[in-house]
Amino acid sequence: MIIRPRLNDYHNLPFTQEEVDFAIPFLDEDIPLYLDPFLLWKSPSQQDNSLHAIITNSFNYLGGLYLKDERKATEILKELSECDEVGLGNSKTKQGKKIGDKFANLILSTFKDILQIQKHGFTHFEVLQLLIEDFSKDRVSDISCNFIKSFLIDYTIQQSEKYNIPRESVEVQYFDTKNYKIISEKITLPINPITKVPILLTPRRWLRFVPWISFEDYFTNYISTSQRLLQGKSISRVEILEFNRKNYDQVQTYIKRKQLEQKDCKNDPLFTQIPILSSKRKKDTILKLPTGKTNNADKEYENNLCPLLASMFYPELDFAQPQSRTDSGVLIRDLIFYNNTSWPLLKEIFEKFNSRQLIFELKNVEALDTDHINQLNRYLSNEFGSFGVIFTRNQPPKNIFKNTIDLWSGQRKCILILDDTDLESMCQVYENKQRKPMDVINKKYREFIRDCPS
Amino acid sequence: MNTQQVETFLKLQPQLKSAYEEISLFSKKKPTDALNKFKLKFINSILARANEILGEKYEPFPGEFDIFNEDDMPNNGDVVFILSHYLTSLEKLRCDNIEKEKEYPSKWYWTINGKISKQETDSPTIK
Repeated sequence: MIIRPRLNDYHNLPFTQEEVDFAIPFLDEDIPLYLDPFLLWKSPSQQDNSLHAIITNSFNYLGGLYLKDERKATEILKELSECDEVGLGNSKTKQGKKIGDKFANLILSTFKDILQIQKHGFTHFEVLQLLIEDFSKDRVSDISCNFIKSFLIDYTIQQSEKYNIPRESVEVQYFDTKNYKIISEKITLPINPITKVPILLTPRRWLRFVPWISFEDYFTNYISTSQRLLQGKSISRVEILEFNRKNYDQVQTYIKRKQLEQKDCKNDPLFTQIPILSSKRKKDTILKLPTGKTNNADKEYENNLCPLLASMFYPELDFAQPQSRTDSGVLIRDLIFYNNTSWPLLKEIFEKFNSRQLIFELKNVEALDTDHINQLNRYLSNEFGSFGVIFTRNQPPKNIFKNTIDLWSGQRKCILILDDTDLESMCQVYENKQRKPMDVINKKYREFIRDCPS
Repeated sequence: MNTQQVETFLKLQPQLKSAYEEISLFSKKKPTDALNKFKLKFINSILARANEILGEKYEPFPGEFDIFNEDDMPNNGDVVFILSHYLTSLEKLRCDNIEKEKEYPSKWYWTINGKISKQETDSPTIK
């Protein structure tokens, strides 16, 4: 079983996150990012701007409808409050919960209670985060996705054709923005093999960890200058929301300010490499660490090496996750990477050793022994195939190296051992950009194969 | 050596010298930094042509080294070491294929096909 499987891993499609325009969805959890409509608003693309207009106009339509027929408007809003197909958010189960009647009424009542909204509607509906308790970034994201679902369907079909993602015929409901109602249609889309829910792909350029307009930003950067806070008194969230509803012009001023600052609003990538200075510090920390577990040296080793390796191998290897496991009562820390076969070595590892994911075991020990090799050897199966890497502090003793050669001879398993010297080489090339850190892995692999009997 | 070989030599030696000087500069500051693939490609091209003209008799490390393996990630120091040996080998080849004219001003000339030619060259630096 692939660890933290993604759509392309399931279908053996060799592309990395860096190569594609969309956020590659996970199959058993959500992507921890949200669609921020502000990114569509500020985009130089007219298509993105018109999609933002669709979101805003559709939401304002619901508001207008609420003033005439509360029940009908809230029914539609409830249906649009969750979008499982896009797989964005913090859910570990990929299934969200729709809002209920009470909350739908609370949201749409802003069209009744706030004069400016009644007259002119919203320009950025995510402002509801500043007006309603519990209306947060996931609702903003899901409602937005539902309003532009028709576009997302077309986008998904286009990207699926481009990257050969298999599709199946499935019934999908989406909001018809011409007639302002939810309709159902049979469409061919990629399907999540675990949940059987159709998958919609979202462009990476629209995604952020936190929306540009958010309660947290409003509280930290706008309200913080309020007299009460400056005097050391606290203001509760409920008080602020209540104040905003009664003084909507304050919210409008905040929106104007956020619009003026739009240059700073950028999408958040799923993964960011650590800066070179940070990598140097982590490397220096690792090299100075004693071996063993004294003063948590092993934890320090793992905590520094994890982000370092994840950054250095990007974008050739997408990082899946760190994991801890026990083997015969010993706690082992691994790093798991997806093998996208984006690099010639990775293609060779995939074809020769059947490794769909790469495992890097971290061992802060003075010298490796047979147990360490056996621990990794026992774990090499299924998605990891027959290839693994051990990162340790010092070169292995001759008998341990011979052990790895014997493993190859007998079982065709390849366990590479990298030490602090190799880590320094990797950091050096990461810094000077003359070669790639993956080249160091390639070098060790070639040296290992040369030492193996033919 | 024939005319073609001398012409190749006259083109190759300055290229190799220039590469040696460039990489030496890098090596003085960062001897253990790996060379990028772009530079390595051209250095290997120079070394391949040098091997052809030197032959087994003059190659610095016959049977042990001919060009750099990209997978081995040679660093600046490695390349400087090899290039310096190749420069010496080329100079030895040159010194073995030049002759001094008997009359004044006794300049040095390439010997082409065993005979002294009109192609002037510097005096030998290696005996």
